[in-house]
Amino acid sequence: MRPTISEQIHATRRILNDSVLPRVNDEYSSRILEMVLSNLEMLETAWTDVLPFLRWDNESAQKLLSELRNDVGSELALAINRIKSDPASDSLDASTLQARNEALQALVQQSIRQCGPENRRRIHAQLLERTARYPMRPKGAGLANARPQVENEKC
Amino acid sequence: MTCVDTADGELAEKLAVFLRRSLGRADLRVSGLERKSTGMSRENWTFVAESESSGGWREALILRRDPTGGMLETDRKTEYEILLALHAAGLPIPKVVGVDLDGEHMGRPALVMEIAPGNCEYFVLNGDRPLEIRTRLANDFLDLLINMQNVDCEVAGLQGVLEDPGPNPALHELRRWSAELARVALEPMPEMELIYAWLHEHARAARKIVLVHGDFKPGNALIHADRISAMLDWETAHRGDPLEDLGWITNPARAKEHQIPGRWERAQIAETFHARTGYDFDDRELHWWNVFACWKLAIIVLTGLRSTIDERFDRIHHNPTALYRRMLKMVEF
Repeated sequence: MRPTISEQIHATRRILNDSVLPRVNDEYSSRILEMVLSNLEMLETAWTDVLPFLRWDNESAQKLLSELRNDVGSELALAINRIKSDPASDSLDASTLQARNEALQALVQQSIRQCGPENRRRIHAQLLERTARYPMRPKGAGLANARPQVENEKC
Repeated sequence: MTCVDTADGELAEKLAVFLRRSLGRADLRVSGLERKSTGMSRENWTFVAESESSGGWREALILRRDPTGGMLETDRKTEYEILLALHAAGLPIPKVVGVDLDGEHMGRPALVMEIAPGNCEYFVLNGDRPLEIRTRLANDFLDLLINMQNVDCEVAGLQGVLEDPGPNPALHELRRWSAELARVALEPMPEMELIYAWLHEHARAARKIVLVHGDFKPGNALIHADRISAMLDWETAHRGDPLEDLGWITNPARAKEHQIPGRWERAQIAETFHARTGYDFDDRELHWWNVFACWKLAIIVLTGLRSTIDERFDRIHHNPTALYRRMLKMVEF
């Protein structure tokens, strides 16, 4: 289906960059617009990876929780059983996958407080893999938009 | 809700009225009011104040006003008292010329400060200056940190302003930032929970309580004629462990800002700090504060993300997964 989402984001970015940005006169608004453009650039390629990531993450979390079930309290073990027995979510519906993702990660989070060292190591390995696969990675992630030099902008 | 408020004539008028009263200059005028893009926790507006009746008095000033949302939500009154105390103690802190703590005049709590000379250079230690100058600047930053830690909070009148963290400031800070994480979290984050568990199990008591800046970095300083002319952004200052700021500046996630490869790296900074302060610590203790620095930084980013989603902040932030990954590589279970 054309224009694809990527093509539409690309066109939006091009128009903002070529027709709007040069006519924005104050420094603050220019900088904010540049950051918005940078985010659109990331989304243009990253959005296609979001569904595959959620599917992988949900399957992996469900498998991990099955392994943790015997090392957590009975209430949490029951919640793990419940989510496992839920009907499989529609793997093409992003909203459903996202909701299931939050439910599964909440159980993983709770398990950390209850499980022993061996299973913590298991969770540790799983989360390392998860962080390597996360699809949306802005430039300079985590560094709060650090800039090389800003003249006389601070008191 | 809109966060954009860049060239506000009404704000300029409010500012002029406020400063006429604060400074006792009835004909004071404000011009060139311009919002700056720097500053993640405050709105920063630069301007010029002038008064003809005061012998042609003219001064470049900055208004720092609470934003509707941002990356840090901190108390303006505490920051104001810290600025006054540290300016009086002789640290390079810009002078506060006006304060509106409850936002009665400026709409939101605000400070007006003088503009110190110099540039804000996030990566000054790895910039274009000769290595010898950069190394001296790195030493100057550490000396400034140590001078700040040598401020006697009781003498400076900060005992009643800054909370007593008790014998284990590490656990105190962990609790404080954990509450902030709970407040801003948009979704479960097992990565943060796992690191919290590690931090909680490995926290150690401090042997000394000192003043901590909380975000000590070249990006929060001004450099003028190759010297530090001002240290800024004291909104996260508190009393705590001497290793907290040291852990912040030796944090591997911020190495490009704080370290010079081959000349001023983590081990050299730690050794120099020990030599100049006599404070004993081992590498595992400093490592704890390095992990904490990443964890706290992740919460600051998540606060920005929450503010963006709540339509109170005009920057777009993401889950700091790069920081999660770095932290996960720094710990073992």
